[in-house]
Amino acid sequence: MHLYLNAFSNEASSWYRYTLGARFQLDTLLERFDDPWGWTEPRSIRQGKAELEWQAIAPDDGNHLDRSLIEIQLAEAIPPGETLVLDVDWTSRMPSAAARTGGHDRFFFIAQWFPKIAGVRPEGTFNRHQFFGATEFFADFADFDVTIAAPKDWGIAATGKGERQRVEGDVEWHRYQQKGVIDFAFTVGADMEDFVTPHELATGGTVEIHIFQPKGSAHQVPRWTEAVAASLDTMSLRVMPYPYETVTVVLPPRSGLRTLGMEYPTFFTGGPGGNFWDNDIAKDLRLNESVIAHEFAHQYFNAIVATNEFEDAFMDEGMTEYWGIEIMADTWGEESGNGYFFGRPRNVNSSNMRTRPVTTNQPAVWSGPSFLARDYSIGSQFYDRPATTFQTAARLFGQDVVDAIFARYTALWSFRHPRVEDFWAVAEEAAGPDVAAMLKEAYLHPATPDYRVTSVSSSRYEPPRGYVHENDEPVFVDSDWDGDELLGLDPAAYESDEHVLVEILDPGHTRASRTMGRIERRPIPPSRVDSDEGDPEDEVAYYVSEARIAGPDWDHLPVTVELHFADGAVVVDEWDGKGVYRVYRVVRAAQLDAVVIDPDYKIRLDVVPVNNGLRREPEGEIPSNWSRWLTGAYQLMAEGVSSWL
Amino acid sequence: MALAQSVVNIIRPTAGTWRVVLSRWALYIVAMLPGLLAMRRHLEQTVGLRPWFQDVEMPLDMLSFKFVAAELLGGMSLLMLGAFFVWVLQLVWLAGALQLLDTSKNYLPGKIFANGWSYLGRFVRVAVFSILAIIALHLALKFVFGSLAARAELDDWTVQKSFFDLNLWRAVLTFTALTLVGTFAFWARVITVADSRRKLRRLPLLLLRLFVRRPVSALIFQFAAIAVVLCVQAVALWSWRQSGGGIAWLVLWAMLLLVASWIWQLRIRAALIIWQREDLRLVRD
Repeated sequence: MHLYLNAFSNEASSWYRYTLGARFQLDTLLERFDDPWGWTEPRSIRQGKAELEWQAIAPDDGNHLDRSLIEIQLAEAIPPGETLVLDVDWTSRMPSAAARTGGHDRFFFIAQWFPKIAGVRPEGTFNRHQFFGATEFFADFADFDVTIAAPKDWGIAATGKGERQRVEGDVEWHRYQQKGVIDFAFTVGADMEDFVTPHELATGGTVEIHIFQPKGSAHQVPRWTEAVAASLDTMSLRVMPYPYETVTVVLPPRSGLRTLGMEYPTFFTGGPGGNFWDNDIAKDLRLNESVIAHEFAHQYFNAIVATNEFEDAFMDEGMTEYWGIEIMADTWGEESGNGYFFGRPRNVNSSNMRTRPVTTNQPAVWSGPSFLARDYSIGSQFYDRPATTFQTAARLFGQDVVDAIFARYTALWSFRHPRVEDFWAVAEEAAGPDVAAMLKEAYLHPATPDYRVTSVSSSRYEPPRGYVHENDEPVFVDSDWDGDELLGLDPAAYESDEHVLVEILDPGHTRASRTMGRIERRPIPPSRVDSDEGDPEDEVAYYVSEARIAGPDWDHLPVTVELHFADGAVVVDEWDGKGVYRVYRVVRAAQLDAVVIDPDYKIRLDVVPVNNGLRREPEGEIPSNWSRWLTGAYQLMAEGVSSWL
Repeated sequence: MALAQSVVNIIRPTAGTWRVVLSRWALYIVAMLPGLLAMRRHLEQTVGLRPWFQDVEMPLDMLSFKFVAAELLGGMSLLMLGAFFVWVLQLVWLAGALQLLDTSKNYLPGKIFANGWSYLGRFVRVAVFSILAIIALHLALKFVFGSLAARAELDDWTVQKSFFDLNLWRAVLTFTALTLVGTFAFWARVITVADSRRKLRRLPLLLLRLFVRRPVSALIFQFAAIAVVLCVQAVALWSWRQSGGGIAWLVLWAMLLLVASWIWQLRIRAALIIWQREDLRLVRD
């Protein structure tokens, strides 16, 4: 049984010990609150009339000061298929809001507040893990019927549907009920109010959208409601109709900011609430919308398809990240879906893309259990890589294919606990072995793939020095040769068949066995030739162009490579991506200007798209514009330093 | 009338006015030129070679902005060196300009650099003192705003007030503190040169007395001049947004630098005229 709140009972808990203390600013919390700690302790646990014995256990790290997991000795064994009824009497103290849960004074977010029976894994054993915080929760489905006493006239919101039952003096009694969910959370606030908007789902039926936010910002309700409605419709149309009657978004006040961005069934926290979204900087950012879209997607992964976040955080967070982005892109477009920052569009994939290749050691996504993640970015490992995997699959195999996989996955695994193997099996069934193999490979490789062009060069053709056979006669060419400049030129370079002859060096690759490489001479018809042939009397120069590209050596990540020539010709090569590099050599009457891998940027797993292309010579206005501007910026800095020192 | 006459005296060019203005302007241009060329070359060899940026619109979207920004560091060194060079030379320029623009003394019309070089050591000492003052003010502001941030959480201020307003006020007060320190440093140097002082220990007290006696002309005018120059340049840069704009932006920016140089000599003239006032004799002595 989990006693989650004990993660906040002391700074030696496993939750705090493993980096979360720094992330959630324990020192700041201790400066601001005399006693910010929270805990849960059972007073009695009974099976029938028998009082049960229990003890804290730490199977993951042996930490004797961690009491987030207890083991209960049953008085009577329960045979398979029978029902166990436990009466648990306990006391919880809410912490000051450190992470996810807690509060003080006039706002409380009450999550992980009750002793929670450990979920049963698909393998049939209890999920015996302490609370580490880096990854979080896993539970079985249950029907909740919760009665809450709140101060009179305070706002209240919770999982499921609720009603005010009665008022007794300064206390209001509320009852909330929800069937078939893995958790129950609620919130109360003196200065909070709830706005309800019914929404007709695109797939039929009505869902109540609740926006629970600080008083005085009612004018923002339509904006947040639109984000929730867009999330509901996108997920219902493309994945599965939303199965619950309500969805509640909590936008906490300042004192509750440490509870931001967390999901619970039918109920989640978005970004901060209040009028600050009206100011000029924040109003055009769709930051809160993107948090809402992400947390709403969690309603499916892992609230409905309840994967084990302790062990497989990449499943719910990865799928959620993907669908959160899909919601934003569907609703507001990819290029500016995340709004505008000082007038500059923010791409929905901004956070996924990197400026430099990932060089830190990263385990394979499938590694686990997830709560052991250390020394690498949980964000890029559990969120970005799975999300970009699905984006890549959608672009390689079709969006409808990926949507069909998710629709089938949720249909099969709703209200159950799948592992990633189950997802791969669904992918194979719904989309075929190629798609499943690609998805699987992306989770098994430790490194993030990076396609890149490493060199592009071109120089004028010169007859090779030495003896060159021309018309069956050897011709001696020395360094001072001033004869025929095209002596020895490959006849294919004249392109009389309107094909460009490309020499492709493939170094081969190894798996269980070796696949030998080779140099292939491949005639390729160019596309997009600008027919600027010039005067036939003009002397035509020929050039030897070379380019080298590098790749991740994956089996299921094929890319298109474009060679752009000065005469407008574009030669396209399809590379299967096997092998760590590939070299092109072309002799023709135009120089190679640029090489671009994956011009449509289908391989979203390659999170460094900038190095996918390289020119031979610089182009564009950015160097001159930015160098001028930066000089101005440094002149301003010099003015400042000179004025202040 | 006296005030108007003072203003006229300050604005009226002296024999060295344009020399001071143009030489300082040229300093800003020439010192940064190697940095400009190096940065341009660096960006050509990085961003310029990437087809990713081929069709992007200016000003850049945030994603492309991030990609370009990641390439900047490699080309920054000469720009930073140029800015440092401007600062050091401006100390020399200030000492030289103070002598050139001081019509009450019969300095030989020497070169700005040659005149100012001997004061560099003393001016650097003023800079060290300024840095210490800035550190002290920064720590004070950090303490105050740390306390306010705690209060914001405990008393549940709005998010707007807790983050935007507090940070805005912190930025404004930091700028104010820096500019106040800058005003002190400027006056310390003016007095050092005007009185040919070798010892600087009494300057802080002297300056406080000066600011009490002449709060507007000695303190507020200098403070405002610094603030206006920096703010106008910052707004111009902000509006420029790394976009092209052809030669127009360059000309405008060069003009702003020229105006900044003109205001700089104006500050020097104003300070010299005030410091030479008879009624400040007690302060001086």
